[in-house]
Amino acid sequence: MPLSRARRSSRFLIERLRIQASELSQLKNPGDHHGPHLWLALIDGLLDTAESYLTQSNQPGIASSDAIALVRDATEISGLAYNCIYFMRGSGIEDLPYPLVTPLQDWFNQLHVKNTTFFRAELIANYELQPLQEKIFKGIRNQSPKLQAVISEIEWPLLRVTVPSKTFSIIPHFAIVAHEIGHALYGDIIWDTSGFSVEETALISRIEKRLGASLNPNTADKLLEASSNWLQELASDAFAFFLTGPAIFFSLSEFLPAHGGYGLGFTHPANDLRLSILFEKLKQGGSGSFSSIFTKHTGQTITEDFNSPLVMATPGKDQIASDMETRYHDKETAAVLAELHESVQKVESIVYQHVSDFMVKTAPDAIYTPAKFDTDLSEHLASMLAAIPPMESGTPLKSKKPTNFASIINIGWVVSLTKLDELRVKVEGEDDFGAEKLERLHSLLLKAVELSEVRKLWTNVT
Amino acid sequence: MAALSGKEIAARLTTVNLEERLVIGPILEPDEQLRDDQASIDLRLGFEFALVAPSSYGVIDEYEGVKGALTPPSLRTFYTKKYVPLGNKIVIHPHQFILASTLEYMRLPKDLIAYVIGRSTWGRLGLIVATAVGVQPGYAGTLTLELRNLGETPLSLYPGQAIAQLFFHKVDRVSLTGQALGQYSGITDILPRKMSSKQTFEKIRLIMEKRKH
Repeated sequence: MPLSRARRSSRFLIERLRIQASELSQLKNPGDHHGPHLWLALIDGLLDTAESYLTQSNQPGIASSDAIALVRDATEISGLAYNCIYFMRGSGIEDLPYPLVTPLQDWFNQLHVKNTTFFRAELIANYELQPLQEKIFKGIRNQSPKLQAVISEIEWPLLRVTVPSKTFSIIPHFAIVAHEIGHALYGDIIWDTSGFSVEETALISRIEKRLGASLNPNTADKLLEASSNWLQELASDAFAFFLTGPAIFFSLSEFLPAHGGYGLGFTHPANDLRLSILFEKLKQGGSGSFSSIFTKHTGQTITEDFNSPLVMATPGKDQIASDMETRYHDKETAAVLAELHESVQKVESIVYQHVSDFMVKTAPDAIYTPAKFDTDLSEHLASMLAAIPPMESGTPLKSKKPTNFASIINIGWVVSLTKLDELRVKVEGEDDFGAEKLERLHSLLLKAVELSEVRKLWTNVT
Repeated sequence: MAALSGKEIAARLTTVNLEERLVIGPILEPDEQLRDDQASIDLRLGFEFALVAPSSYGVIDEYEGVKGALTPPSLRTFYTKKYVPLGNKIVIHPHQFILASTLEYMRLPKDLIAYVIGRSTWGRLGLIVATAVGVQPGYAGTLTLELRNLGETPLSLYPGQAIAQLFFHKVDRVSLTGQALGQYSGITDILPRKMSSKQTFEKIRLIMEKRKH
């Protein structure tokens, strides 16, 4: 009798999960993206499998212990299905504007990232790429045909891209998604580590001096992990830089201070250091640099704190070590992080060069160059100020081309940071700080994304 | 006041001078939407729709429940928005009322005024496309169409379908040179914001209060 109660309870759960999954399948996903559909099919496959366990457990003559195991497993798989539903929360158009996902997915496609993705938004000021491994589902025995089919269809690891929803869903900030793509590609770069060796020796020596002892295996492991984390962050910044140019500098400048502190920790290098590196990249190329082109079109000079007066300066190494030890870490880890800060400044150019080589080889057309920036501003800046969103380029009606997402966000940043007063859209109330005008600019940029994607879809369908 | 011909509309769409330029975009099929032998341009149905939502309000009344309020209440609460992407549809049932956006974003120069007229094909099926037909000089944004199905049959509406046509007239005695550059509306939201201006709202509210005493 107790088993029949457990079986009933398990079936009850499965049915409720089916209803919930069915309701989710009726919702629109931004960009009609394939990822959430696949994920829902996987949930359905899990429930089919759980259902078949229940049916087997009820077969005449089955041993009691086998029946209990089957019902237990069915319940466990239902729990997994429930977690899978939780995993995709925020993937509907209520949370993320419909037009945004297609251009973000295009970046993945351009860089030949084959993994299955899906995009979702949540009420956290955070951008994140979370890989989900196949092994979670591999161990499930007697998988239903549907589950087997979906597991084979998904390109693992599945990549879930999280962006902020609602208030923090600000179009030009989406350059940060390009940074997240960098995390997916970090492992694909063939790293020539010889360039790091000199600094590695010096780094270990500084850490040992700070600790007054030789590096023990535990500290060495910490160093390896932290340096790997930091290099991955730098490489991801580099990917974002090559995909979006100035937009990533302006985006991170505005976004990073929202998290407080100076950003340095076990997973990330300091905010001002990351921005300082990006700032230097903007200046490279003399008169053909992003900075020069920015000045040519706006009359203003990009400075390191152009959009980041709120970014806190990183203190000296001793203070970093003290802060880390006081707030977060043991003495050894604190010493590692304090000294790693100095090393990053010496190896960043190697990291950026590796990413540049990768981009040139893999997706040269996806690189946002200063020449593109120049063309975009020549063509769209004055129009944008006259309330014409940068949705398409070209003059003859029959040969207009859709504007790329990287172009739209860069135009948006330039207007936002230097020309907002000249944006000729009516605002209703008195607005001392220009926030209402910024909201109007945001609407126009979103419209530009939507309509450029419509033109692409219309043109490409055959 | 003559309407602009198809050729004149095309010329305005491609003029280099930003102040004179008429912006309508994207024009997905220029040959189909804009023809020399016609005096209008076809507009397509957009992706945003708004349906009047069930609510606890007995009546839409600008002045109800706003004692002492300095600004009119938001009208947004009366609607449910729905986004219908290209390749999907929305059904308008007999006698139903729906707000819809045009696919195209447009910006009128200061010397042009436009009129939105429903396409006759839809009209014969019972669909009334626009009641507030005038588009003022300097308007910028997508147009909001007020759709009502007066027929007896439900109609499927697909974003991207040609739904209306826009006629243009020149506004007399407007110079586009030598004057301060004007502001454009720049509206991309289909929901109405308010019925009255702040000033009108306040005047009527004060008169109502005086009448009570």
